[in-house]
Amino acid sequence: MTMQTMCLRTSICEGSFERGEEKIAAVSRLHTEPSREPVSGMGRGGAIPAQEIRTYHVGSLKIFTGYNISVSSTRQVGKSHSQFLDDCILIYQTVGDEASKSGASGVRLQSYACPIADLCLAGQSMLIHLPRSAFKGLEDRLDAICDAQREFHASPILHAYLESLRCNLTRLREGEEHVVEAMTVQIVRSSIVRTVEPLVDAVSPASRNRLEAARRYIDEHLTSDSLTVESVQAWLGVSRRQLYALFEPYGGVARYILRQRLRRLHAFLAQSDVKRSVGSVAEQFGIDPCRVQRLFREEFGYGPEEVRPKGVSRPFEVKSDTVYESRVA
Amino acid sequence: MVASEPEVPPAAVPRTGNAEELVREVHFSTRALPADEQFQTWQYLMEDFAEISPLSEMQERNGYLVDAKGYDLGKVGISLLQADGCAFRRDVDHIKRGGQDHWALCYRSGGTYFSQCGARALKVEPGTLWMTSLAYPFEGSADTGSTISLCIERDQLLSIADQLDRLNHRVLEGITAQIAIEFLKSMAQLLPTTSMAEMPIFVETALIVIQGFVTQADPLDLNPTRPIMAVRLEMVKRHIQENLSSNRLEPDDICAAMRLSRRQLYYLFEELGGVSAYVRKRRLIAIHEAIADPAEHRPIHAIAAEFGFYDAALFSRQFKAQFGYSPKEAREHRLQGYAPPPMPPRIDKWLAQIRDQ
Repeated sequence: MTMQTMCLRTSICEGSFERGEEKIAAVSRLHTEPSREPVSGMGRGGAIPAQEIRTYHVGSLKIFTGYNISVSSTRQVGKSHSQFLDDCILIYQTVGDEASKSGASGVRLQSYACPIADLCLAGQSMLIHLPRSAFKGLEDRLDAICDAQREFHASPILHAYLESLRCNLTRLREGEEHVVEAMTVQIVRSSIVRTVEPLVDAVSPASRNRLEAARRYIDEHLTSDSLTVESVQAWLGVSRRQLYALFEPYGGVARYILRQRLRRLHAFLAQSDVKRSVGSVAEQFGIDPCRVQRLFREEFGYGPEEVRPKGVSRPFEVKSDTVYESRVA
Repeated sequence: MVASEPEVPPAAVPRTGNAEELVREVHFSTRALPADEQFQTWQYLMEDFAEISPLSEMQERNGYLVDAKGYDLGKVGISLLQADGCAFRRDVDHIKRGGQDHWALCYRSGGTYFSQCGARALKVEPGTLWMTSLAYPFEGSADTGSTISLCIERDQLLSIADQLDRLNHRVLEGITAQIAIEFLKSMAQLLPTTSMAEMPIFVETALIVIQGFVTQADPLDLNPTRPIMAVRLEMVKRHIQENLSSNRLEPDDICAAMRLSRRQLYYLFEELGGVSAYVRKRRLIAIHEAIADPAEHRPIHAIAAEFGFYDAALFSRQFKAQFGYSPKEAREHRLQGYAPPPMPPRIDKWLAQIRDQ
C-alpha cells in the first residue's frame, strides 16, 4: 500500500515570514507539500481520504493533526527570528497501523531551541504547539525533557486524553476553544510535574529549590537597574561562593543575568514596532548600550537590527522620507 | 451482613504509602449471595444513600445482580456500577444521614436512566454524560445497565459551587463532554493497574475535566432549595476558604463577617469538630498542597507563615497530627494529601470517607 508522505518542516527560519502569526501559517502551508506518490490504496475498502494536515487554532495553542507526518526543524543561525525559541511542541503519535510496521505510540516534547532530527511519525499523529508561557514555574522540568530529546514517560491518562482530543478536534465548536486550551495545558503541565522528577534530580533538592528561587528573582527584576550579583546574593541569603556554585552550569550569575536580558531584548525587538534605537531599548533592559551590538551578536549570531520586523521604518529612514517630501513640496 | 469483607489492612499503615502499591479497589457483588437475599442486601447497603425499590416488571424474577467497584483517590472517587434495574429515591433525610454532598459526573454505557430533581427531569440514553449533585434530593429509575461516576467532594470546588450546582441533572455536551467520556472510560480501564505514584495526575486531570464544564452552566438555578443550615454552613466555609491566608479568621472575625452570633457559628460547625479546628484543618490542607506542589520553591516555614503558623515546632506537630507524616516528608514525596485510610466497613461509607480527606 502506498502512502502519501507529508513533510512538515517546522523550520522556524523561513526568511520570508516575519511575524508570529504568519510564521505559523507558514508551517501549516508547508504541510500540504506531499511527496507526490500515486495513491493506489483502493485495496482496503475504498479510497483513502485526502491526506492533509489540519491546523486548529485553539486559543494560544496550535494543533496539527495528520497521517504519516515527518518532522524536521533546522535552525539556521543568522536568519532565525527566534521568538519561538522558547516555545515547545508536543508530538503525539498513535500506534502505527499495519500498513506501517514501525510505528509506536509515544508522546514527546521538543523545544524549538534544539533542532529536531528527521522524525517520521507513522500512522495518525498530532502536534501541539505550546507557548512557553504555558509552562510558567515548570521551565526547568520542561528544559530537562526537551534536552533529553527522548520520549518521556507519559502517564497513560495523558495518552488517553491526547487520543480523545485528536478524535474530537473536528467537532470543536465556537466558544469551546478556551476550555480545551485550558484542559490541554493543565493536563500537560500536570504530567510534566508528575513524571519528570527523576530527570532533574541530579542536583540536590535543596539547591534546586534555591536555584529556582534565584532564577525567578532574576526573572522578576530583569529590567531593574538594581539587579546585580550582590542583590541576588543578599536576597537569597547565601555566600557569593555558594551563589556561583549554583550558577556554575550557566557560566556564572552575571553571565546568566546578561543572557536573560539579551533574550528578553530579542523577544521585544521581534515583536514590537517601537522605532527607538536599539541602544535606548537595550538600556531599558539593563544592557550597556555601547556593548549591545557585540553582545547580541555573540549570543545569537546576528545583530539586533535583523530581528526587527521588516516594513517598519527605522528612525533615520523616516527622517529621510520627510526630507524628501519637503523637497517635493 | 456485609457481603464483601476484604482483608482489612493494619490500622497504622505507614501513611506515606508505598509508591508501587496499586490504587485500592473496594468491591461488592451480590453474585455470591443466595438469590432471595440479593436485593435486600443491596437495599440495606444503600439505605443511608437512597431508598431502593424493585421495578414492577422484575418482581417475579429471582435474584438481583449488582457489581460495584470503587477507587478512592483521595480528593476524588471513581465508582463503577453494573446493576439490574431499580427505582431509587434520595430525600432530605438521606442527605442529612449519609452526609454525601458530592458532585458526580456520570456516564452510562447501557440502559436508560430517568431521574427527577425538583423541577428538573433528566432522561439519559446510553452513551451520554450528565452531572448529579448529591446535595439535592432526587428520585427516579434505571434499567439494567452500567454507570461510571466520578465523585468530587463539595469542599474541593467551593469556589465554583454555584456553577456546578446549576449543572445538576443536566446532560453535558460538546467536545468537553466527549473528552470527559473518554477520560472516564480510560480511568475505569486503567485504574486497576495504576500505582499510587501515578495517582496525582489522575486526580488533577479529573479536577480539570470537571472544571471544564463550568461554562455550560445554566444562567438560572432551578434546583430545589437546600436546608438553610447547609446553605449557611457552606457560606461560612467559602468565606474561610477565601481568607485562609488572612489573620482575621478567629471565631469573632467570622461572626462579624458572616453576621452570625457565636452560638450559631458553633452550632453550624459542631459536627465538624468546632470552627477553629475546621479552620486549622483547611489551613493545613492548603499548606500541604503548596508544599507538595513541585512548582513551589519557597522554604516550608515561609509557606507555613503565610497561613499563620509562625511557630515552626507547633506547625510541624500539628501537620503531623493531621496527615501522619512531617512537612518535609510531604515535600520529598510530593504527596497529594492522600494516604489510604483503613478500609471502610461498608461500601456506602466509602463515599463519606472521600469527604474526610
